[in-house]
Amino acid sequence: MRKNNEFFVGYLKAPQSIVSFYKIVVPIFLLIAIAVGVWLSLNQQSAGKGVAELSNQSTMSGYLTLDPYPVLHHVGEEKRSVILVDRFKKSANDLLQPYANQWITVSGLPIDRGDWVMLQVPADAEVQVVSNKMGLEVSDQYLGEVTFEGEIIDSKCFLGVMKPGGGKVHRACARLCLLGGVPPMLAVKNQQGERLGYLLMNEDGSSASIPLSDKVAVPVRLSGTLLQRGELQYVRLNASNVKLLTGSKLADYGETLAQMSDEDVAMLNHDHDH
Amino acid sequence: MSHRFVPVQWNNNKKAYDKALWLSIVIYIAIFVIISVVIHTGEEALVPMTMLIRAFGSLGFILLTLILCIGPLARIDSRFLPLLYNRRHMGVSMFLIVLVHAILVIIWYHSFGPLNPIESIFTSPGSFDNSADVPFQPLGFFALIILFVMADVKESAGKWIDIGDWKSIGNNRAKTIQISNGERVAIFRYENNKLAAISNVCQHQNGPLGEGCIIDGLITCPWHGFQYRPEDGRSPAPFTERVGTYELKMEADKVMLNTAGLPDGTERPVLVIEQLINVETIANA
Repeated sequence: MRKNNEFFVGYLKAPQSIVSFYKIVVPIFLLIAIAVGVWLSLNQQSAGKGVAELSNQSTMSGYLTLDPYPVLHHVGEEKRSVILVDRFKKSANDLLQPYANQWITVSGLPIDRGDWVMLQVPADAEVQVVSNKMGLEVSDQYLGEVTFEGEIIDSKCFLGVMKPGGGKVHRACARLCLLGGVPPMLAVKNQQGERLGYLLMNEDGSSASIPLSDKVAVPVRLSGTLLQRGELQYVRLNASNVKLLTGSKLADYGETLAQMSDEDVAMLNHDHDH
Repeated sequence: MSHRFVPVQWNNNKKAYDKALWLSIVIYIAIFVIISVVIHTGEEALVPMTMLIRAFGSLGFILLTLILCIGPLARIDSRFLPLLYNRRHMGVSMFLIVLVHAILVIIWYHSFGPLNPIESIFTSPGSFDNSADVPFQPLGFFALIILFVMADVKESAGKWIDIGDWKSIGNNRAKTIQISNGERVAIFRYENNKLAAISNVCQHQNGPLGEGCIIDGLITCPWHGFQYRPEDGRSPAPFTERVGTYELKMEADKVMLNTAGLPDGTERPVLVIEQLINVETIANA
């Protein structure tokens, strides 16, 4: 141990050698703190491209389906399918139950990510039935059996509310959202780096939010039937068959989602072709 | 040095210490937030809550690492002792920073759902069998409690035995030995030829008295300058702190210490060694 014969006592004037020492040490510590802060902040993962426009009220009209999640179809000129959720970590099912399978107009706050659109509808929102449009306007198209590797997330946070709305840090929130009925989604990145999302439901077509709530935010492999409903793609699956990935994929969290294998992509393309 | 019930004693060194500490904290948070805003723009912009959670969380880790380094650094080079002098303020600051992080996490991730936030923390899915699946937030909750205890609790502290090499003790300095019950005893040399043994543990914050020195005839703690008389282990009036004392005796050429320590503040004869009068023969530490 290096001994310093000048003895520092807090209530006395500090010895000159100590003062000189700290004139060097303190700036070094400060520089280290600044360097670490810069390095950590520069190396944050992207939070994704979702945007929650929580101050921009928007009104949308479309055909409402509730099974298994509230979705407004045929919205706008682009005939988009818009997922509807309540405020906070809650499904909009209760609010919209009386309007199932009807054309409605509703206002809320839009949440966008790429081609995905979601509308946050408050529990006291006014819903107007558009009486001059009737009939079932949405049908299912089966696209085949698929196997995906990716991360189960809650669609509301992932599409732009949480930033980032994926990864293990977000797990507790994703779980609460699913327990609250927010639609579960599988986020997958294909080999071109594009991010794809599939809503998940049980084999019987019911909501898989609660069964999947303990499988969120970790890399998983799942198999099921892919179907198209409106502009959205769903996977029908058995929640108990969702497998946690092991090995090197374990580290593949957050926005760096697990990729589909070549075989999976080939199989998916094959199924699409038929 | 203070009266027992005065909770905080400010002096210029403490003020300088705290200013440097909080300036660093503010600079770190500001840099983290500014860079996060500049780097992640447009659709990829982070929400302010995420930035703050990350900034406070990472700062907590950095401060904890620094705090844990101060002890070993001070052992390697005594010039780091002044950092240790106000380490407790750094510990409390670190706890407050981690507490802000924890509150933000609880609001952001665990609130506004169908479960109450505390239930949400402790029922997180996952398994300790799988490293990817470990539910780390309950661990974070316990870590917060441990950090609170660390911030709140003061830092930690016969028969006749040979104290070993006593000739190398520098005048006004001490040698520290550990006795069989785990306690440490500081044996000070002063006025060239006197040896006095007291508990190594300062009554203020358990600082290592044996690493201190004698100033104005008083044993002075290296951490905060609390002082004790070598003769009886008592702080001079009007102060009332006391530390345990130990008896010393000379046997042949050996200095022996009675490991049965005496009650705090007990006066006992100090050991006067005529051989030590010739100070030039003794190596200064």
